[in-house]
Amino acid sequence: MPALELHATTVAEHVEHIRTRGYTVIEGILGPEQVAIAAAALDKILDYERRHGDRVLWDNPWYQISHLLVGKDKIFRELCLTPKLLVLARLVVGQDCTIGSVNGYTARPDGIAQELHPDRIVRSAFVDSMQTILTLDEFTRENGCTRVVPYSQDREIPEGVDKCWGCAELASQTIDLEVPAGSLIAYNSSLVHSSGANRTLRRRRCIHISFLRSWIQPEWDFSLSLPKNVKADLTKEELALYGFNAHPLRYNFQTCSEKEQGQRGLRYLRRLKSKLLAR
Amino acid sequence: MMSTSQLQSASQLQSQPSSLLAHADEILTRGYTVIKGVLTPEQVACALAALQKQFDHEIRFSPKELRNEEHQISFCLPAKDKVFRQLALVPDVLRLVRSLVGSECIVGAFNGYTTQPYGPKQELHVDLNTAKGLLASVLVIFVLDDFTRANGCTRVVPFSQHPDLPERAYLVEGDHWEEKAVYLEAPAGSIIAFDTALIHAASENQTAQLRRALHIQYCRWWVRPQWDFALSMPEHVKAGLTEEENKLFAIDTHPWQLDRLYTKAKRVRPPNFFDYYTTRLRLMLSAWHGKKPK
Repeated sequence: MPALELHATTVAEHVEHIRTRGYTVIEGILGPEQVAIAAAALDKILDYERRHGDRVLWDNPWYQISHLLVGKDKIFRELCLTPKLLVLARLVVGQDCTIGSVNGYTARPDGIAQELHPDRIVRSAFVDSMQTILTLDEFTRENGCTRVVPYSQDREIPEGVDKCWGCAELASQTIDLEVPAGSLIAYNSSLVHSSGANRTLRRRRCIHISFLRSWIQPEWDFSLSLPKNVKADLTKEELALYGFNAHPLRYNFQTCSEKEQGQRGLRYLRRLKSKLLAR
Repeated sequence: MMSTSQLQSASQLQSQPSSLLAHADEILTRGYTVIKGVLTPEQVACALAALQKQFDHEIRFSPKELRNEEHQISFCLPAKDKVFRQLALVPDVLRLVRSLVGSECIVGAFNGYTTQPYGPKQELHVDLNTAKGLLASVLVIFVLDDFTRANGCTRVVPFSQHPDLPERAYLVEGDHWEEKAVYLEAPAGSIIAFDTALIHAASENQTAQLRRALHIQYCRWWVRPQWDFALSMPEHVKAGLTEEENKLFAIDTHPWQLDRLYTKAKRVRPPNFFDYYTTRLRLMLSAWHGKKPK
């Protein structure tokens, strides 16, 4: 698959598509080798979690999900740093955007179609959250590719109603996004969409990464969830992306100030110092 | 301790529902509003005593950014005293902020603040630099000492919401903003409420007295709060929270945390401590024996 270069004009077009019709598609954003490695890693995780994981995440007619992939295999951290993906995300939701979730997803073989829904129901003049899908298998109508309702991010939703309100009326306007493996589907999180019915006997795998403006509350708390060895290995850029720098402050009753995120030994020394000073 | 009846204050809003809309409209247009008589003198006295207790306790610990020649701040007050949690629930104030930032709004920050006697003025700034046209959060200042020009009342620049600032910038530069600033004098018991994207600051305190106030930021439920109350409040405080307080302090809407053994999301505050850990143990044993968990 020839890679589509994100020249300045092309990037601008993709950004414009997300702002106006609500979504865009870029083919060839991942190389075949990356797709193969990521698909194998995701398979391994999905198989493990079918044996030991929470049943709700796989024993349903629609899908199997694995949450927080960046804590489970390094390849997913690399995918989050795909240059073209980051360029697009930063143009749409800000240079200081953060990642709210990184999930592995497969439409269940011989499953049924998901109900149309938006991921968020916030209406505003700008995109505050962008959902991206990196496809690891070819997306076809047969295997339940993602379907979207163009321009549906701007529909009126009364406050306090269910987020699927009015989605059924939009069903006739859906577009099936058939794309090859290694592609990127990016859309405004308020866009009405869903995955279709997978009528084949094989998984239809992809990675979902949500990018948020820095002042939006993420779905996942990466600083509490990632294993210690992964956290220690994160680069400066990754710490910023996973919201470590923007995490809400935690109060420390010993120092009457915010809790420091430093070395445990140093924290205890500071605490001891403040206790001594208090006497 | 304040009773529920004390919370039903005799403010202007309660007697005149239409004035709530007028005040909300002022925040939407010029960026701020002032409402007198929201707190009763008893509420003010109670809040002052509780705040002073915190200031006196923290004076020995506070680092420079919390206590300096300009101000003293006490963070995260709802975790410290029930009086403050009750003040976040004053009905008139909740009605006003919910009309602006949604019925599911949360408290993003709740601090005690005083200008220092003979302290210098604060630089003009915005609290939350979000996208233009979005009212993401409202800061409500509960005035506990009379706010006067002499003791460094809050000054704001009307109609200055969302000045063109670079991302993550908060300080506002340029003398022209200072020239447009208005000084908000208000008696104790008043509230000053403004869009957190409005340019504002505390002014110079030329007196020998403290000028104390409570700052509560109410934000839309999907805005990242400044403080993580779920991780800041001691367990015994969290256990005593009402359902409304759980929602207001975003305990129930805290981002998910991954339970790696369970491979699923878990709440920061497990609903049933004993059941949660016995389930973990059962799953661990199942995994150990290579069985599928039921």
